[in-house]
Amino acid sequence: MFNSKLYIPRAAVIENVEELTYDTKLYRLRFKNHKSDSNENDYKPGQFVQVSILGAGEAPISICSSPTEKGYFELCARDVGLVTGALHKLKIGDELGIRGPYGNSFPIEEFGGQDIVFIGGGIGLAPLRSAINFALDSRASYGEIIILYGARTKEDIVFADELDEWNRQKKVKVFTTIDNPQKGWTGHVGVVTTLLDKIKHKFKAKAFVCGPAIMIHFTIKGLLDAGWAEENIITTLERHMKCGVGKCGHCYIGGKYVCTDGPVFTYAQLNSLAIEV
Amino acid sequence: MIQKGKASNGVKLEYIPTTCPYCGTGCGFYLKVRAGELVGVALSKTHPVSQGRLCVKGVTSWESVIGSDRLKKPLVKKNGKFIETSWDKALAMVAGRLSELKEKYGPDSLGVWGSARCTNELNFLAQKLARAVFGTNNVDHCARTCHSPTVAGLVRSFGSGAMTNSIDEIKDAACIFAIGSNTPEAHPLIGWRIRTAKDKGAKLIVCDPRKIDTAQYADIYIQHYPGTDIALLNCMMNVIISEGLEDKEYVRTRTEGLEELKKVVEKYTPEYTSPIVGVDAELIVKAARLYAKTRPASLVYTLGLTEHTVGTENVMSVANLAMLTGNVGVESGGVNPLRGQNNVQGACDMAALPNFYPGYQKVDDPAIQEKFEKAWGVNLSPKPGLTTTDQVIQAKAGKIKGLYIIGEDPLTSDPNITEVRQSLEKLEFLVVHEIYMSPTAELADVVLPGASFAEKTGTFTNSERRVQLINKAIEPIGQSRPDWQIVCDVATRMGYPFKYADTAEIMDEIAALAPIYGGISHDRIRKVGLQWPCPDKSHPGTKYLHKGKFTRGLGKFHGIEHKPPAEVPDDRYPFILSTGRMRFHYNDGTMTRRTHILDREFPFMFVEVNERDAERLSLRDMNDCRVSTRRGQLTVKARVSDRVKEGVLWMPFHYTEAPANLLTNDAFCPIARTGEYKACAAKLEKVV
Amino acid sequence: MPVISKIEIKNASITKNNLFALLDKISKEKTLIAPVRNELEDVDFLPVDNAAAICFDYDNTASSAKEFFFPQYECMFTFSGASNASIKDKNGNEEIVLFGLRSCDVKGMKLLDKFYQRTFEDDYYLSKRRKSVIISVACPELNEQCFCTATETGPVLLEGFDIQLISTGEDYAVQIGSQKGLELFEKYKRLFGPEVAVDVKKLLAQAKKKEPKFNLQKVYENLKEDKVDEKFWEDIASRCQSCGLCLFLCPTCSCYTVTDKDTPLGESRRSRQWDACYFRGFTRMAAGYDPIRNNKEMIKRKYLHKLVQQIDEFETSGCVGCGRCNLVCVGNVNWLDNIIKIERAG
Repeated sequence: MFNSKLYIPRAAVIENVEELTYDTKLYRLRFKNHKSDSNENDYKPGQFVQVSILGAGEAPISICSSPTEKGYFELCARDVGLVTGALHKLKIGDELGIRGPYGNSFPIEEFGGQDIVFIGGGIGLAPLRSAINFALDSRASYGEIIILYGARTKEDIVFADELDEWNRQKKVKVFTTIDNPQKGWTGHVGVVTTLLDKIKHKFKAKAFVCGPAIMIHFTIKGLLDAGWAEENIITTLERHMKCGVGKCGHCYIGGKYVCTDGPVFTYAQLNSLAIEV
Repeated sequence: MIQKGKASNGVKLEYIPTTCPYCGTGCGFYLKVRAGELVGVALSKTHPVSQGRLCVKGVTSWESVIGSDRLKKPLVKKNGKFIETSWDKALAMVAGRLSELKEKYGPDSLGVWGSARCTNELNFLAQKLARAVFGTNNVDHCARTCHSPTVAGLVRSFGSGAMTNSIDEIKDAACIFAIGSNTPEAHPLIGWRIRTAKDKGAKLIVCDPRKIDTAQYADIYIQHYPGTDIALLNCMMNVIISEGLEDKEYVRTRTEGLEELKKVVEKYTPEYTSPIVGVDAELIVKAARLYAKTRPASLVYTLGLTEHTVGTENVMSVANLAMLTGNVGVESGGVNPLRGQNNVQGACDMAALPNFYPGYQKVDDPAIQEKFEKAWGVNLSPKPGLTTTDQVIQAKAGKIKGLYIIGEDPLTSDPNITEVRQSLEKLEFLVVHEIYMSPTAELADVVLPGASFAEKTGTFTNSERRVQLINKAIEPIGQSRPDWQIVCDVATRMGYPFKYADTAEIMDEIAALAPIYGGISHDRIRKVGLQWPCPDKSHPGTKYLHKGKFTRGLGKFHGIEHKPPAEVPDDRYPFILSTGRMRFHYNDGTMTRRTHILDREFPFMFVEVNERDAERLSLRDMNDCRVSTRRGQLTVKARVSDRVKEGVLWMPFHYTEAPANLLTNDAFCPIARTGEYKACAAKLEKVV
Repeated sequence: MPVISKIEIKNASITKNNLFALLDKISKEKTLIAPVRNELEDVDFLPVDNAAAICFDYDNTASSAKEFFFPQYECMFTFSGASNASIKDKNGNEEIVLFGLRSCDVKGMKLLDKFYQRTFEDDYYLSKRRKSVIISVACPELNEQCFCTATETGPVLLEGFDIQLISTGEDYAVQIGSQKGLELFEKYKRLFGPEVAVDVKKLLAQAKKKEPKFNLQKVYENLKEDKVDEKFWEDIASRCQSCGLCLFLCPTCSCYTVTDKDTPLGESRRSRQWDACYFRGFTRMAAGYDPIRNNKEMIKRKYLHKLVQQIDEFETSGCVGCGRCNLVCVGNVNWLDNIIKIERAG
């Protein structure tokens, strides 16, 4: 764990802030001091941290960098509430608190040699980015990598530059779409499920799905229709969380705590727990 | 009495028994105190009102008074900004300026607003300050915004303006008729009694323009237009009389004025009334028969009736209906106005009212005047004073120069707050007691920090006339002081020493002067309180009123014609806008917006829109929309459902950042001077 | 480190007078929490500084004893400004002895012990709990509202207690079941008497023959297999008014929310306070999405949690049958009545 006492956050400093969209920022963080033996890349893709801003509170945010990147980790946050609102007011050099890393992780390491499909909606691309970059950093280990990404409008697209860069990699294909036609957009138009045609033949691959609840719902439906097996569909659930450690109860569903037993689940697991997505 | 567990280290948990500071139900519970701080609420299983239950506001009330922005020091305005000052300086300024104004413009240029949130003892002293020290009867309080039509109406019908029966009797009624009351949300522990009665097989009739919880399980639900209650009630009485269902013996022996009533209700046939109220004629007939035939029937109402220009008449109409069917003066029957605030009943009893002395003794009665002049050793004014409504109007007209407002926020809770602001800004001097800064306090010249319900000992009187103790659990926050002590200091500095060792002593003076409180003392009410009338020290209190005879002798029928609200829909403003309350918030939100669990449930302002109306405007749930009236406009979220009747909009008034009273109409009931919060004309537009 | 480190059950006895003397001594030498009956005839757990303040004649207290380990409000740490270095952990270190818990409440406490050690150890609960000793008193019989024989959480315990008292008329048989219990016993040995044998298994069998108000296995199955009619859930959902009390009162409920707030005197605190799953805001996310789609799902979740999922995970009933929540609802939802209805469904 980054922090030594369960509920006491560890100080981290903002190294960089990048505005990805009008309401979404990317933060690069490093710890204020390094006396601990657990440092910035001691996490796995898919895990999250409790971001603590004293006076505002805490919010769970997925780590969106890969642990193969040394000396820092990155968080991507949309300004939607009290804590993320306070976060958006912070600048380079400001301090915040971190607890974690919590949760299980994307089962990416165990899929060596296989084809992987990443399907992201909106800011849902952020947690997937951790697994994508992890996979690309060990490129030889994986088969074909296909990334499907959908945003509401072109102004909502996050990590635009990286999407292009991923597309330029060997055996990586990236398809991006926006919901409705827009001036200045010549790419694909339609919700992200309209891109499922591109991967219909890949139903033996592992599929990682992340985005708004309704997007996850329809994407998984599309994958199942295309012949995907339930245990090959992996998603990460978002929930209101206060503690991140399976105690406050807010994320409890179907006998599981999303923060400790998840947030990553296969669709087969969700089904057996009668958790609807 | 106070349960102190002195532990040898750390765990100093104490349970302090007290009465809830929110609504007029008056639940009892324990405040948990640890190391001098409020740390929770524990249930009392034995309390006669709460009986081991509470609502979400009561159980979180510990958090409501410990917000970081509690006022901790007196504030004085200099050059448009507040600066902190000492009590000595602040009180000197208050006493000095008020004395100046009294000298220059006369006693009637001043006004005192007691507080329905504060204790009986405070309110007694507030009216004594106005009467004995200022020399005016311009004393009133926020009952004006809600139940003063109840007092005015029931005094005319029965001779006494209070809830006739006790809260617990409601669960044993055979029939409950609830009109203009969202009981499960505004009075949850009374809503519990309605639920219990229904579970036991009682019949429930609910009349409300909104499909509230009780409407969902009622036997008959009447969704009538706001402002059409008289027509509805007259129609029911028409049916009862024409089918011979009235209690003839009761009417003959216990009432007067039947002929006058008959003459008026004759034309309110179901066919005539149906289009006025927007309800099927057959349904009204069913309701009338059910209510008349099922005895005892308990009639419950709140602000849906009173907050109209015809508020007093609405009250007299339900009184008519209950008397006609022989339901007053019987156990589990009666006419039961559910008082809104924790101590609005008490504030009325203590006569923070312009036309009464404590105990509803009239100001313009020479014998009463003499009694109080003797008791207080000063000459008193025989002229009834101005209500808060009229003090505000006269402030704008330049007649009222100085106001002393205790624990009230007219800039959030009075109708048409644009007008209210202009009035208050014209005052030469405004002093406000508050626990948190409010829009009204922002305008004041001096703001005095008051102690909350958890920081002082005194009494509240609940809706069923039960006088109960609140007990001090923690020390006043910062330099805040119990309001009664502040008033004592002001009076003393203005030349009339108010010397009381504690609030128990004040209650002794009240008992000596107000016959209905004659037998009330802090010692006697320690366990379960006492319900007035309680005329002497051996009297056990009174469970229900008007047994055998009415307070005025015979109950009086009044023939009342339907009159529409002051402002009705037209082409420009086609909707009826109504306002009201929610379960999770309380009035101007001072306390509930600062309580985590409560504000989390409903953190933002909204308007309830009917599904069909929404469809016509292409409005979907959670879209932004603009609600406008002739007085102002607000942009809020739309909540679309079938809860409100088509053609009706409903907004809560709990959000000071989007105050519903920016829109409401400052049209007042001419008798009781209560505003028509429940009906004005509005338009609704989608915001893109 | 488990909260109750078990030993082989040791038997003793104590007279009524000696129990009084024992508690009196403990109240003066340590912090003793015991049932207290106040002027209003309410009985609840409070600290006492002498045995005369203790109430021995009660069915059960109004609230559970979890307040002393998981309080309704607790400051976790204070801080100043934005600096994490300013954080001062406010975890308490009181050592307390609790007297008068019933078997159901002890079972409830044990469930909380397991829960707060699940995956991560919650230091706020455990540091207080590990320093506590509980002297519980078995119930002579069940009352109308409680149902420990159905949930197998009483009226007397086979194990999992520190010190258990079982009435033998005026006096008590004493059972010591843990290291902490043994240490307390050793300290006040003189006040205890010789071993009085009690056949706890027989007592349990007798109680079970008389009392079980439902069959937990049937309830578990009907819930797990979703055999209960939708109308049942709709009725409860229409009655629930989100007061949270049934959950605040429950000895096994553990949910809380966290707030960063300043006190009126300016101290910045991160605190936790009891929360409940019967508020829609409990699951609603910042942007407005709520994975719980309606009140029916919200209501159902508690029943599944306590009567299915906690049994699956902890092998003990999540409801300990104390009966406190039966008579606390302004919508007249009675938990026991509902369980019986669930048993009869399907």
